[in-house]
Order: sequence, then structure tokens, then C-alpha cells
Amino acid sequence: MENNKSTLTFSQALKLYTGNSIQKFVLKSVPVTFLAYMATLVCFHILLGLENGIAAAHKEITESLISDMFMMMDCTIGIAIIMTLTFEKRLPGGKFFRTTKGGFDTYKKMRAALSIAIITLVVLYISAVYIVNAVGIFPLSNGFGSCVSTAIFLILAVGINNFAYMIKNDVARSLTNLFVFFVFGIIGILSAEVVDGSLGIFHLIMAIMTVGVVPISHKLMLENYRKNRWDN
Amino acid sequence: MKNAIEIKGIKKKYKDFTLGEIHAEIPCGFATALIGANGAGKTTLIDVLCGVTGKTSGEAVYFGELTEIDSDTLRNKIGYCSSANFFPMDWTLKIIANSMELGFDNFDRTKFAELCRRFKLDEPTAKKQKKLIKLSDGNKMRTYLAAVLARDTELLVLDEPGSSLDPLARDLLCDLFREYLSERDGERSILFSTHNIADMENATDYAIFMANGQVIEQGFVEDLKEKYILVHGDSENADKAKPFMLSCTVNKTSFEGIAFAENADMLRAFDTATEVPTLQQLSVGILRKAEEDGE
Repeated sequence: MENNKSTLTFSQALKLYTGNSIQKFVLKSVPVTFLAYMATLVCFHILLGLENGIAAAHKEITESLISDMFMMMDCTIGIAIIMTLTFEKRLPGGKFFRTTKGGFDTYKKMRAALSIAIITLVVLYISAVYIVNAVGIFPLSNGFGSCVSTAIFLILAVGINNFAYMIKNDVARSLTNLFVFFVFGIIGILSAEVVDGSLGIFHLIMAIMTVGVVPISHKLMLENYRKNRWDN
Repeated sequence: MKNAIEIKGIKKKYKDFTLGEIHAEIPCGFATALIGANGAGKTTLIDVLCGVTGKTSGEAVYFGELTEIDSDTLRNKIGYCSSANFFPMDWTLKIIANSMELGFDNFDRTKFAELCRRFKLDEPTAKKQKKLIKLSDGNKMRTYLAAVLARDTELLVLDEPGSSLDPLARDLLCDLFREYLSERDGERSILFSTHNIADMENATDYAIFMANGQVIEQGFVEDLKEKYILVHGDSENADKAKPFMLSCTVNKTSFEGIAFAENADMLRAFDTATEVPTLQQLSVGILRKAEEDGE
């Protein structure tokens, strides 16, 4: 079969499939995820504050891992929403996408664009959370270390979840995605807690592993998708 | 005669259904109807021809020379539209236009806006736009058709384009078929599937009948109308006429069915009347025969 090269850019491929360019995708997802984080913490302050007052609630939240956990959970939900985007033949638009120029190459570019959007979302969102922490509004228990560790493990989870794309059942795949994100997210937070936020060799190894796992799993996922679902 | 598509032994195997081997021709310059009951294999064949589904074996030759459906040359020449959910349901006309422009080299926004007006849809440039999910099935199909017809293609392949349209929209679709074909006389072709040919009869030049994953008959409508006759008579003569007929429906007082034209003289001897069948009557007769043979 002829390998048809797509002339579209990553961002154009994403726009063809979703109606949004990478920039628009990030501009929509980062503020929503960040606002969800802020709203969760505000709600938690109110709930705990009803009993002991806002100051006590604030102390309890910032001295425990609550802010760190919410940072991870809201980010996980943001990523999971993007990762549930599927373009199967049986779903609306699925047949249309298979007839557009570039064919599978355009699909590959769109998938790469989605990965770029997800990684950008994690980096920008966690940077925003760090700023909120740094200015003292909602301090994290392990500050910068917690942010970096969570980002590394969530991006690694994106790579691991690329393997989950090989699961055909939608429900099983979504549940696996969420499970992997939460497990990796919790490891990220706890590993920062263990070293009191001073990241070391373990996190360096994990960061290097992430750089390798994400592109390899992405490539394997695409090969499997083409063989089992695109051409079938 | 030049063919828009020549289908040479295409086969597609699923766990519970096998299409083909299909041998058929889609003549260039005409509108071809793919007629068959639900589950006959029309959608599978269309999907294979448009590269939406891979084939198990066989080959299709497009425009006399091209065989690689996964090439942009062919993708740009073929305007494909599925029967339902062609676009994501949260899309609006504006997003559709943006996506079509990125997905094909020959999408014309001005023509899309004009077709939206003809199909009585909203303006694609309007600020407030409805998502597809909020449209009726008929308006969804109008949107899909406006999008695919706004491309400068050489072959339209439409899966059940008339099934969800009201009679007026179906009439407009027939007009658009004629306009599409006459814009470049003899160079453009249409292939559309249907299980109810009555409303699209005026727009059909060539017919391919499918049953149980096989092509059971094909030809120009005018030729088919010479090949077959519609026979009817009193029910008391039904038993005598039946052996010479392809398919027959008998009620208390009369019978009606399709027979080969070569049996016309024989059938008239049983006090029957014969006439030229409509495409709808032909379809019922031919498909019923296939159904009986399959049982």
C-alpha cells in the first residue's frame, strides 16, 4: 500500500479532526483545569472552615498533602478527558476522517498533536499551580518538588496509557487510563513527600524514562491502531 | 464505455458476513443506484470502494487507471458521504467548512454557503450556529450533502442519501444529481445506495442489485426495463403463470410479479396483462427472487 504523506501540520491535523488547533486546544484546557483546581480548593476550605474556621482549614490543607493531591487529580481529569477522544470508524466522523487527504498519516499527525497538547497542558497547568503555591495562596506541602515530580509521573502515565490504546473495549480502556493516571500521580506525590520535596536520582531516572517511553509507546500504539482498527 | 469504477472480484470477510466476490461496473457519466435490502452489503461495498474499510481480496480500478484508494489523487476525486453520523455531532457548519477545507484540496466555501441556502440550512458564516446534534436527521443529511457537493469531485459516492430526507429535499437531491452530472457532461459519475428506489427513480441511469453480499443483477435502467416485464392477472391463473415468472405476489383476486420479457407471449396465453415495470417494481421482483433463492 502506498504510504501517503500528509501535507498538513500537526496543528492543522488536530483542527481537521477536532475543530481546534493545538493553541486553541491548550487555551481551552489549561484555564478550565486550573479553575477546577482552584474551585476544588476553595470548596474544601469552605467545607472544613464551617467547623473550625477558614484559618484552621487553610492550615490543615496546606500542611497535609491535600493541595498536592488535588493538583494531581484535577490534572488527571483534564488529561483523561482529552485521552477519551477516539475517532473509531463506528463513531460520528470516523468514516469522514478516513477519506480525508493524507489518510493515516494525517491521523498520525493528529495523534502527535494531541500528545503535544496533553504535555503542554500538564506543564502549563502545573506551572500555574506552582505560582499559586509560590505566592502563598494555596501552598503545596512539597512545593516545587511536588510540582516537578507530579508532572514527570503524569507524563510517564501518558506514555503508559498509549499501550492501553490497544484495548478495544471503550469502557475497559477508559478505566485503565484513569487507574494508570491515579496510580502514577499518587506515586509522583508520595515520592516527593518521601524526600521532602528535594528531588534526586530517582526522579532523574524517571524523567529520562519518560522521555523514552512516551515516543516509543506512541509509535507502538499507532502501529497497532493501523493494523487492527484503521485498515480493518 | 469508460467506467468510473471497475470492481474486479472484491471480497470482504467479517466473522458473520462475507461480501463478494463482487464484479461490477460503475459507468462514467451516469448516476448508478446500488439497490438492495438491509444487510445486503451495500454499505460495506461503498466503504471498501472509498477506502473507509480495507478489503480482503480483489481490486477496484478507478477512472480506468487508478487502483490505490489510499492516494490523495483519488481521495480528491471522490466525494464520499456515509448514511449517518458523517461528522462529529458537536460540530457546526463553520467547523465543518474549516475541516473540509483542510481535508480536501477542492472544497469551495462559496459553493458550500450556496448549497446550505438551497437545502434551507443556516448560513455557515453566522455567529450563532447550531451543533449537528440539535438538528433533525433530515437536516443532518442535508448538511452532509451540502459539504460533499461543495467539493469539485469527479465521482460522488453516497450511502443512503435519500433515506432521511423529506420528499421535497429528495426532489432537490435529484436536481442536484442532474446538475452535478451535466456540469461536466460525461466526466462525472454518481454512485448511491438505497433500499427504497421509488423516490430516486428519476435520478437513476444504471442499477446494481445486491442480495446476501452478492451482485445479482446490473445494467442500464432502460435495458433492464426491456429485459423484464411486469405481469398481472386474476388469481385463478396465478398457478399457471408462476413457473414462467421470476417472482410473484398473489392475493385473493389477483397476482403481480416480474418475468423475463422473453416469456411475455407465453404469459399472455394465461390471460395476463404485461407492461414495462418501474424501477421500484423491478427492484421488488428481483430482490424477492433473491430472497426466495437464499431461503
